Amino acid sequence: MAESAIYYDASKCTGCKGCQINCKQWNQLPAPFEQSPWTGSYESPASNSDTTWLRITFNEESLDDGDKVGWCFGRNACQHCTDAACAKVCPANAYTHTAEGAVALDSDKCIGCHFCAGACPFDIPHYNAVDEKAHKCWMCQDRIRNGIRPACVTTCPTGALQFGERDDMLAMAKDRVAQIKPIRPDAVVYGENEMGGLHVVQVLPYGAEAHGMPISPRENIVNTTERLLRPLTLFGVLGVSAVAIASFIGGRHFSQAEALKHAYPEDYGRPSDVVVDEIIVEEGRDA
Amino acid sequence: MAQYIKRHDALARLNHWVFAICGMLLGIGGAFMFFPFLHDLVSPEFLRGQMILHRILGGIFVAIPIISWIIRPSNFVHTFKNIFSKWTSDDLEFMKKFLPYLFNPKKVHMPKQDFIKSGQRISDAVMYLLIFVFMITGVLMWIDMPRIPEWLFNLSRLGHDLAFFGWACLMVIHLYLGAGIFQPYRGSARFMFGDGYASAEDAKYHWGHWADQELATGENVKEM
Repeated sequence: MAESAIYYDASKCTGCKGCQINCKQWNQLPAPFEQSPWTGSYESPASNSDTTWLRITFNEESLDDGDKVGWCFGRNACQHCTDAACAKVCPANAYTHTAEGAVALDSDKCIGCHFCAGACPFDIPHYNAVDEKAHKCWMCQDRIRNGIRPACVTTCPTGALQFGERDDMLAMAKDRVAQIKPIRPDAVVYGENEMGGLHVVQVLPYGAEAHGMPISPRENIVNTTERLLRPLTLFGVLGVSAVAIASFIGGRHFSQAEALKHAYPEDYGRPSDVVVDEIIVEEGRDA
Repeated sequence: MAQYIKRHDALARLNHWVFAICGMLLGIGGAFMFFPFLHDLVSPEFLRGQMILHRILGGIFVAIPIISWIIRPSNFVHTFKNIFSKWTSDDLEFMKKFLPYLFNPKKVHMPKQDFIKSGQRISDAVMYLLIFVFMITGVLMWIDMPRIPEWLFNLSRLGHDLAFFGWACLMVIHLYLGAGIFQPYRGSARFMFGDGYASAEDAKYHWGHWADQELATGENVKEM
């Protein structure tokens, strides 16, 4: 089965948040009323959470030397990385790469250790303090396995969101970037190679950073160091054990009584090795 | 009748018993979180249970020395005095000879030692440092995100992993020597896991200066 991907074209997005709402509706995620101070942004809520798996971000970009303001919408949700840091770090094997290309989280297996949340370069898995598990977008596996597009995609009124085979989505993104490049020179295709290839392919007309995406997402140093430390710990224990075995062999036939003669010759007599040395010396003289 | 010198009192031995059991369970439980090849052997319920147990045992593990110091403040002074006291020429000689001695104890003869051997002083210092790192990083991971920033959580995870590496290696040495697998240390398990007494011969061999002092005063010496 060919891998699928969600396509997001920020140049067509109007920030209507229909996708955000449909995600909540299909996945039955609560949307409690939260009063937050006005920050000058229409972004709401202010961040993703265990119950907000998809969020449209509203970034403002200065255009034409500050004369104009460009609204750079972004789609903040799981990117379904091929090289998913969350899946690598999970000690409970709760994350799986599905045949469709999604990185799905089995909440029943989640032990709530938070390692995935700390590992994700996109800050995606979020912990729910009530059920003590992590939660995130699962690319609507229940829908796509029944031939229906993900909930966010079906609701998009402008066609900014599409769903299909990853190769097709990439080709479409490249065409679109080529098309808008004359008026948006910073336009990029995002998701082709990042984290081994994402299963969310994006067209970002003002460049990745302007749309709230990290330019070169990568696994954090803790994950990579931990992967080094695992074999190092095993080798360390085995190495020290090998030293212990060698020492055990070297210590066979040890006699404490004999050893005490060196420290306490008055109490335990002269050590036999010293006596032997002297006898050898005397025998040499006689000869 | 042979002479025996009291080395560790009941409180110290009880601490060591609890410490050893907690440390072993913490190490085994932690290994299931740390090594991916062990993940498939257990269920998520086991890991979830072990995470809870890990926190309880971790609390006990850190509390033991603290409670012991509260019950007997002299133990605190004694512990850190041993770690930080000035190194004598015997200490330096001990450390210089330690590796050759480990492989050839029949020929290499160690200098007399005080109550705590020079190597044990280093080992104790490292052990307390690792416990401190375990405690701080463990508590931070327990507090968890978003109450602490992501970088601090990740740093704590790294610190916990590094401490585990050091602890695992240190424990192999400690077990090898402390349990008396190494021939010259045969019978050492009795000092902490048994009645806490060392025979005069053992004491003289391992801690000559201390044994001489104890045998001279006779305060902690008994015939058995």
